[in-house]
Amino acid sequence: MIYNIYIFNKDGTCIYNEDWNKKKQSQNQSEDQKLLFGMLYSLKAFITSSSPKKIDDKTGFHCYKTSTYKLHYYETLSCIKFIIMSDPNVPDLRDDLKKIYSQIFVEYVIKNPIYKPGTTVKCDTFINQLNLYLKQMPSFSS
Amino acid sequence: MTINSIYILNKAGTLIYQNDFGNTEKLSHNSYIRLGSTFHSLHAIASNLSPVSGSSSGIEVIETEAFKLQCFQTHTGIKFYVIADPNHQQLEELLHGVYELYTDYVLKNPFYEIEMQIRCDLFDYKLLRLLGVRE
Amino acid sequence: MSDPLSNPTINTTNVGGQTTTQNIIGGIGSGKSNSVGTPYTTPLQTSAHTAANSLSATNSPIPTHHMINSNSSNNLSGMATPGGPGLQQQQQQQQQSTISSNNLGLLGQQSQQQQQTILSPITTQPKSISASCFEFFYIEMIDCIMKSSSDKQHAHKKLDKLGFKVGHRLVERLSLDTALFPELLDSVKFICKVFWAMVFKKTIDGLKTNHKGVFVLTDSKFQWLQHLSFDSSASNKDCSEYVQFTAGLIKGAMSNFGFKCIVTFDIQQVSTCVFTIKIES
Repeated sequence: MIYNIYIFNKDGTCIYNEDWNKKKQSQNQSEDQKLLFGMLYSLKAFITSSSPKKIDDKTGFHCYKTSTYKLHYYETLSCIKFIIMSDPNVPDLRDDLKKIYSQIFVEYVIKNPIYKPGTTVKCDTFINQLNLYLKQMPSFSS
Repeated sequence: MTINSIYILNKAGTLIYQNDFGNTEKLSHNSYIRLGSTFHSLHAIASNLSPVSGSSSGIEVIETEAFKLQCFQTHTGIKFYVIADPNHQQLEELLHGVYELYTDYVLKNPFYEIEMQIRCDLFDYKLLRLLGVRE
Repeated sequence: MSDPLSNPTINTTNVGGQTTTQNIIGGIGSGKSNSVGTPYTTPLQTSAHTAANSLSATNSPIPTHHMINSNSSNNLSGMATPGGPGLQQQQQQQQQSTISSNNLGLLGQQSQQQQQTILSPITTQPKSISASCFEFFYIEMIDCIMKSSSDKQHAHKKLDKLGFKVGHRLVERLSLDTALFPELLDSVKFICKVFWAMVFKKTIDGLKTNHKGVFVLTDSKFQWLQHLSFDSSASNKDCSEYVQFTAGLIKGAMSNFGFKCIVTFDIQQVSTCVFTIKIES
């Protein structure tokens, strides 16, 4: 079961966020986004320091799991972060995140002449394609 | 399957035990304390970020390309976490084993002050033996 | 996108022989020669090629067919081919070059370099240029031009003129080997098939005419609008600036065939474009 997706850009602005199957109502969306971003920032720093081997900042961290959810993470070289929260049994979604980046985000957001980088993504085609892609995944509503 | 390090944090999040195995790079003692506290906070924030209602535990597993971190939190608030090879499968069992050793050789040690640094030789010895068997 | 200038139907260097092809755009600036025979490129082609080749053809951000003719001799001197890659570039230039007949005329600064050229077997390998790179460039170009003047009409006219120049020159190159068109309809068909295929890698989907000088071309999946989408809440859904350039392209192409016309366009639904050509007689 996939709960939500976040896309952050280099500055920490959440440029896209969508929820499905979510059972908790959040009081303040922007607070949640900031908390998530800050937490991931610190987590990455923690991982870099405690790693026994040299680890790359962007590609190092894959996912973490708690008792109720699993957070999948993919960061591009341009510091755009793709985050999906799912239930803990879902297998690794990094490949899916990569596909979302290369086939959906780049095609329908970056190549969209109307989109201004740094602003929230509201392009119809991107939203539709993203939903299409996620809903056809077997782990979406299992 | 190598185990790289084991950390034990007390209820407040302070590091009370840390040990490295294999050829892990040694950091300064202060760095270890800092890492321990950082993990304590991250662990707590992760439970706040949960997208489902109902209480979530903190971080249980962190998977990265170079290591896997497994954390076990007891009902008393003590956190045991281990940094190991990414493909290691039995880390949870290992952590339960460490918890057992903790209860046996630390808590039952009359000279040990609760929530303070663990300086029990027997605990170290038993831990090494446990890991020697597992590795 | 494959480079239109490496169209297999265009003759490339003919060792020692003479092929009479048009000397396309006057020969200012240096020509290129090589050690055997005297094939050389006209300055326009050279500048186009060197620009593309010096950036490595497989990832060139600027496809040659969209480049505006710049001052050829300056460009040539600017793009001296260095050592190893230069050799490959020379070969590529030979492959793509049109050959003018044997007038030695204009050996410029580049002649030194040409002496080093080694003749290689001529093969017309199709080369590709990253479509993504071009799309990004195109977006920025339109943006730049729209910002350059506050009056939208003026900016549209600029885009039209730009497209005109490019279309005019491109069609010159593309119609190299085709026979003369007996009638107007054939020129329009050329645009629908060959020209559109070279620029957009597909042909026009529908052509209608009233046989009185009005033609309607329909492209149901207009390439440069494929990735464009508006916010659902946007009030102003006008993306005509992104199609204006193409209208200019058609206008330029037709004008080079000798038909002055007016080209208007209409964007229907998602990425369907309808171009209307009205011939002025």
